[in-house]
Amino acid sequence: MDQKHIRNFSIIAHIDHGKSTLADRILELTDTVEKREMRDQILDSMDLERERGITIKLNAVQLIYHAKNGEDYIFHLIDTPGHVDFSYEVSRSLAACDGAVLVVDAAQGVQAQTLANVYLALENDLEILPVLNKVDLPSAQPEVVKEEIENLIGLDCSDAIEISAKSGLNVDQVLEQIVEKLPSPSGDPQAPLQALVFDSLYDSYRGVIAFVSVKNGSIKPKDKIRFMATGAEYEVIDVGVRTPKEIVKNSLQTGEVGWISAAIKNIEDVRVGDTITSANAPCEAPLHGYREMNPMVYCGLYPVDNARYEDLKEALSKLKLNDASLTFEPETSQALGFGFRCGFLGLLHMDVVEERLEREYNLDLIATSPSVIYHVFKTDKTMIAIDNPSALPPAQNIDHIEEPYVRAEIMVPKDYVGAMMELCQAKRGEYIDMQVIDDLRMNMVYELPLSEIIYDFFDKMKSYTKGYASLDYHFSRYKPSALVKMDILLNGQVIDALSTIVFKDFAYNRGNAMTIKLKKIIPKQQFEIPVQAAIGGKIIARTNIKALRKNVLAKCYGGDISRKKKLLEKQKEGKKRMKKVGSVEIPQEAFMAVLSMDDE
Amino acid sequence: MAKSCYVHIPFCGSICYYCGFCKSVSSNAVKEKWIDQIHKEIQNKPISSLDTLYFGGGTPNILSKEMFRALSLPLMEFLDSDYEWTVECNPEFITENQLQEFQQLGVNRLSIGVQTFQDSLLQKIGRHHSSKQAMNSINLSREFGFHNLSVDLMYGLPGQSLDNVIRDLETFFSLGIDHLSIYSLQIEENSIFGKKGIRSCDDELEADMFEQIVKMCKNHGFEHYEISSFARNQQYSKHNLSYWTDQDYYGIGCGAVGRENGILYENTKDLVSYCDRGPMPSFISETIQERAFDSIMMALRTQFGLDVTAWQKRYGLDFFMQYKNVLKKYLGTYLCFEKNHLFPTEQGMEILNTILVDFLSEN
Repeated sequence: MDQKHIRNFSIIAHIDHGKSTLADRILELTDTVEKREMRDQILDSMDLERERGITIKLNAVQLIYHAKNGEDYIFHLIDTPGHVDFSYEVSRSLAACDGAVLVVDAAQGVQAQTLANVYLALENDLEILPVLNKVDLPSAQPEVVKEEIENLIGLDCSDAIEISAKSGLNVDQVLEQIVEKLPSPSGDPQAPLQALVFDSLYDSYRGVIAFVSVKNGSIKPKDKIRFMATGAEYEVIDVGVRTPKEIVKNSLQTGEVGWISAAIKNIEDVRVGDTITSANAPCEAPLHGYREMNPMVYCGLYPVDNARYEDLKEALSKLKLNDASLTFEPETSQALGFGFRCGFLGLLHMDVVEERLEREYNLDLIATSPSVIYHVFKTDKTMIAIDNPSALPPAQNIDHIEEPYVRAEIMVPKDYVGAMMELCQAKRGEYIDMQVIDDLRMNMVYELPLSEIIYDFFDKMKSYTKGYASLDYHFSRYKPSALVKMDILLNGQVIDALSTIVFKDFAYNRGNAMTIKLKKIIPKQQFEIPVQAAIGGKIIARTNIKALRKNVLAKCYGGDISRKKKLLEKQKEGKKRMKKVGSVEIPQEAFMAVLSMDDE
Repeated sequence: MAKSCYVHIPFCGSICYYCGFCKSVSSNAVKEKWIDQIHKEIQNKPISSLDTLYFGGGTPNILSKEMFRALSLPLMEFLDSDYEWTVECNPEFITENQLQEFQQLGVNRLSIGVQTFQDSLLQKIGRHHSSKQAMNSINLSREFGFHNLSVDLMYGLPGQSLDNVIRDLETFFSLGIDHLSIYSLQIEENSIFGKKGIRSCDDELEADMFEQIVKMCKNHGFEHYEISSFARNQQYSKHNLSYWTDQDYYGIGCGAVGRENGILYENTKDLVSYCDRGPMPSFISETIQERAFDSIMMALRTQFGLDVTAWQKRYGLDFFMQYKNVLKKYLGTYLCFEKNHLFPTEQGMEILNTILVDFLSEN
């Protein structure tokens, strides 16, 4: 099929505005998936995605659309995540597209991530097709929301289609507009091969599979290809597309989106964002690629069983293949042994990676509490960047510390502006600006320390505004702060993996909250365990975990044997997931305690 | 060959809030069918002689005189000369007629479910008898010649204070009974308490209560011979000792558990299917290692402990090699080894689960 009949597009939206549901309907309408195989969120193939009802990974499928003009079109649909943590995934999918369908919830209106994703699409020069979803909700106000889109984004909404992805209402018109309004790819089929790698995964039989968008030229089996960034060369074994089933094709032509398998065993050779060209007739320069995203949040990941360090290393390498924003470096902890300091785009990303490692690679992990990167200016005029609180130099060697701030945009109904201002102030935010969106909503702009955002800002924001506020943030700059390292001592011993860097004025409250939380999490042991928080050797909070006095089942006769053993097995499993540090056994969740405590 | 037999009587007058056992409030027609199945079960068992027979429940003494007799007759013939035959009794249903019948048949031990001597607490846990009724029934039992008596008490009940427990024990001692079983309240998931989301009492208070119980019992000449059992004048429960000393026992009736040739089995808990199709036992498959662990788990509940030589011989394992880490950790304060027996100290009994988890980890 010629390029004129190809459309490459993404669906972009704020979280929960109905992206994946619309993708489901499109697959149904184009008969890409048979009814009996259809299930909700069909493109979300990870168990984790389906359980949480979110999209984590982008997913590309090819489908054939019989348009009303009687012609057939090939659509490449790339489903993308909506959460702020995964905007990197969004930017990758957008680089492979020529257009985007922007879904806006007709009841909720434009939200922070709607804007963020639109800006990403504009950066990639994409044509944007606005669509109003959930118009069948009683609270839907499509006209108001259209005006909002026109005012805030500057998109013409006169033709915007009003749909219900859930019921399928007007989804056929969206398909027609994709044909009419979105551009076809503009590559040169005769030019040397240029294919953008936008994703990859590891298949234990076939090695690394690269997902590509062919911008110029074509690619077929037996072609010799070169990865331009790494210089690695391979012979292509198979090419194909996903529908979402994997289908082998004779070739991938200009404008097509599909996969390449070339018996690539070396994971390092394939980098997402790289350009594939022909080894025999290479192109002159690689494609633009796209903005690299730097991790913002760091934590230590350690195997509960130290013997599984190598397994963790391999699992991280494989995960990184289709999650380029994940970084990891080996590190050592006195308490936890050998592990990795890993970098993530945000807390949800961290959570998802940890869970994928545990599920897909069958690892038992301990994650330490998340940290940002601090710039530590020492008295000897040098600066070091640290991502692990236990690496902070002694206080007498520190001149001052700077921490990363973000520019946060919070869209919030007017009634909650006061509450949000209070929250931002309590989290050390600096007011920058505030704009009126419409009669009901304001856009608040604050500069906030990133460490406060990852601490509990998101949860607090939700509870302060009953879930009505939405947040987007970008790194802005480093600023000096009065920060101190807070150590935690168990049974008199500093546990390095529990150290955190806190704002000085918050230290007493957090120290107190932390010791109380640890007392709740750490089970009683045969001796009393003092739990202390300290700054530079000075104890600021203390509590005790009392000694275990009674742990026995009262009744145990013939009939109780198997029941009782199940109970013991359960205790044994719980114990296996604990880390023994000195004489104290510490459950995994204790190392993340800082995230779930209440310091107010 | 098993020398002990447990019969489960799954009927009750009403359901107590803490109970997670197999029980129901049933009509006479159901009971008729049930007894037919019991008879078949007894016929099918290779019973030759019994040292101990135990009727537990449910509420065994809710059965009518005729029903009780029908249940007992086919089992009585197996009893050895020096037998122990226990019937669990709810004071609510104890009558002169009943005691007379028990005596005539040859029952020689009663275990009386008093739970507490405080009327307000009795109500809170769904018991329908009063403290006075409990005392009367105990006195009545004595008058009818029952001297091997045991009382069941509970502690850690919602709203119960340490003082309440002390008073219960004082009342118990005043009765001059030689055996006490005293259990902390366990919230069973399938009990009424469990379904209502009632929580067990504070750990520290529960530990205080337990230590107080042990102290008072010892002061009154009782041996703390098993975690929840105290006896004077060596009036141990012989039947229960069969569980704790790695012996086989027949399990008969709906909801009963038994062990034959070292293999545990559980009869169906569903009364309707039991009446229609009999016990339908499910056998619990265990490796030698698992059985060996069961043996340790049960033996360490008692002051007599585990006969290590017998254990090694029976399971073909090297006890000291296998458990050297556990022994190193607990010997002294929590466990003692004397004359080939490993047994728990008082402190060891209190945290036996913690110790057993370490044994389990070495399997």
